[in-house]
Amino acid sequence: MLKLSGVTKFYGRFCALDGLNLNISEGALFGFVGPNGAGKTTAIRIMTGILYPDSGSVTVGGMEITEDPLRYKSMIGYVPDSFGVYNNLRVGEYMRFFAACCGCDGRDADRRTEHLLKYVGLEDRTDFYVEALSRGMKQKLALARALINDPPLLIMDEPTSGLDPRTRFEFKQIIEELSDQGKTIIISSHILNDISELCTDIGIIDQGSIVISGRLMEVMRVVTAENPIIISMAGKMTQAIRFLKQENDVKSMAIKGNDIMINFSGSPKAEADLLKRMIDSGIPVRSFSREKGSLESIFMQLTGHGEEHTASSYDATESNY
Amino acid sequence: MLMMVVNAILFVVGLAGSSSIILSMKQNYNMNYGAFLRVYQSVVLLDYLLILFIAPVFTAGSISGERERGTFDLLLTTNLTTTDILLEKLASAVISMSMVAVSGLPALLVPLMFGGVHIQSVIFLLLIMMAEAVLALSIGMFASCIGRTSVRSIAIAYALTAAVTAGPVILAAIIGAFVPAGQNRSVILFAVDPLLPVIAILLDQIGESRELEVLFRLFKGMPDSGFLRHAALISVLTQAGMSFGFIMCALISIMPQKSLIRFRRRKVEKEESSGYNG
Repeated sequence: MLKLSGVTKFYGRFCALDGLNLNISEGALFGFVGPNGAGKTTAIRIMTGILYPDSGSVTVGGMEITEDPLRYKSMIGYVPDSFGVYNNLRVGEYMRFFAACCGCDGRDADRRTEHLLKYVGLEDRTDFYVEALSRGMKQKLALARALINDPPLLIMDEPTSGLDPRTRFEFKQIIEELSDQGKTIIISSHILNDISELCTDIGIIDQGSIVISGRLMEVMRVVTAENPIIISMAGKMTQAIRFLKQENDVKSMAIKGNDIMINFSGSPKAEADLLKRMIDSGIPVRSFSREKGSLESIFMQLTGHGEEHTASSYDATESNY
Repeated sequence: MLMMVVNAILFVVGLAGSSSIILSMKQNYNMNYGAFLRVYQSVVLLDYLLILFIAPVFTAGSISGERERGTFDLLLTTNLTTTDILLEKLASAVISMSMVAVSGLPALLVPLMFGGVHIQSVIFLLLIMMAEAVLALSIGMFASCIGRTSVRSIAIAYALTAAVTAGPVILAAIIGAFVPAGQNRSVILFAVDPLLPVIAILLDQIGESRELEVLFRLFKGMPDSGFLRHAALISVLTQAGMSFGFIMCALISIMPQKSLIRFRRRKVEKEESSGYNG
């Protein structure tokens, strides 16, 4: 649906995007995350057609932005991090104004306005001034506005930040519904919990280029492949430690209560083999699994803070071997 | 509100001037029609200065205000191009400004209650004033595009308007101080001054067109008779060109066209270089 190939953008001498490559498939709910100053906003502005790259190509549905900018833009709905509202307009007027800007007016605009305001739950606020709306309502209005020309691609910058838990929940439900309707949705957010709850795909950007991208589960699997294995024991701890110490693939070991955490450098087959031999040796293994990484830990690991995170996680161990 | 304030000022000046002439007429039993024309002259110039003062504000906040609200990016994601946005905002400001100018017409006519200038001439002068206001609006629009905030844009707009209005006069005065009488060619720069066409037409209306020559002589300048005869037309055309220039500069200064041009140029350069290599 959306493809960025070798996109570069300079602000003077500062390189904001350095050959950014991104491929977002149709119908994906894509989480776009990165630390502050990583180039997220620049990338989003380029995706929406607000900004043009210095080099590289951007295509939506196979169409490059330079071919027909207006048709390109008509395929995208954009919800910025600031609401982007005219406070002196009424909710209905605001919607009809943007409908007219998108080339939809008259009864069609009225019909779309009515439908979308109902969809986001603002149908009883049509005659309210925008400035009288709460933050959550303004965000819903911004979403309704972005959908005014029924775009197949929706780009949202920090959509749930600053919202109360209820509004955030409602907002997430709307996003899920839109995704179920087949829309491709890109969400840029610092709230990694929301991203991991909502998104099917993820891309992590750092210093102007994509560090990792793909299906969320796959990314988590790849990144957590080097996480320590946690072996929960039902007794015979000393025997288990002695056994593990003899294994060449076990690089280090830490113990916390009845759990033994090992850094294992072997293949998945060697991992399975280790478990089998432990059981055959009569060591009572209750569970044997890789430590599950959260999106937050992956983010920290991939954006240059991994060492700090690792250190802090090992601080929690009782003793190290 | 703005219209009311402008018209109130004009009416006060016009009525006060006319009343004082009528009162002195009652005392002297002497009808001085020229005095009414001078009041008319003052009211027109005041109206024009007010228009020049107000006009930049109408447009100076148009683009920078959108940026501050965060709505400019949203407008760029619609079917509107930056040219559409700019020209439509300019058109809206021209209409608002025209309303202010036209609503001042009755106030301009107050000192003419005993005649002296035909109403068609006054309307013509008003049209010239509105045309001149377009220059101030274009300056405001340019300032709005280059200024990050509305306050900064307004400051830039006033600085540019002041430079265009007072700049040629100051320059001519400085150069005039160092050259002999009749040798100051810089007075031709008055053509860029928005005050010149209105002053020229006004002097012509009240039958004092030779005063324009006196004005040039004051700065030790003596432009040819063709320039003097068509000073208003030359000035209006020059300023129309300047307005166009400011609008073009405003358009170029806004994203994303600026980047698009650069992007396309780089792409063409890249294709050409790869073609040569191939």
